Amino acid sequence: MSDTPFTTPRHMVPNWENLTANERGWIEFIRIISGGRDPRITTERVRALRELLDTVVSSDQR
Amino acid sequence: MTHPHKDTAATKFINARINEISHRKSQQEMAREAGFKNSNMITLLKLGSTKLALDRVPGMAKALEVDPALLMRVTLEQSVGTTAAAALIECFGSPVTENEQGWLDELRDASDNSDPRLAGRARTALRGIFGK
Repeated sequence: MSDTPFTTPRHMVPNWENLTANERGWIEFIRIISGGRDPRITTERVRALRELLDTVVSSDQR
Repeated sequence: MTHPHKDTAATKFINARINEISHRKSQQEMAREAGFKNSNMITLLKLGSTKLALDRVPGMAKALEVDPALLMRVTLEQSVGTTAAAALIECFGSPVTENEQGWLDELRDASDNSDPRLAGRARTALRGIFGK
């Protein structure tokens, strides 16, 4: 559970309805594979996500 | 003493967080930060002898140093039951944590707002990034 600490507590953000179906899919999948640990943003993960999205976006455009 | 809530996700989550921060914060301090007059409440919550009241979620999230939206999600199920929690989330939406909002921002920025689908290959790669 080392991913959960040190996030700044704040009020609930009821913005689920503002997400697209695809965005909900990404967030729900991250919740499942991380075991609900609310993974924090790290440079390593951001880099990996960007590499992944480069591949996804370019293959979607083909 | 009975522990009717010991197997709920909320009790497991609270236990794990208390264990993680207990080396630098006492349960008495946690109780005070959460707004409990009685410090035994932390023990009762750990054991699953009592439920965390929904109106205590913001204070408890502060005490446990977690995002309140995350704690609210697990507490909702403990508080009202799985079916009612699912209905509430269907009506009002699922609370998004600050970290999740950050990931959404990254997703939008890195994809040039192209709203990418989560296809099979992306799922496999995501497991590598976020999995245990």
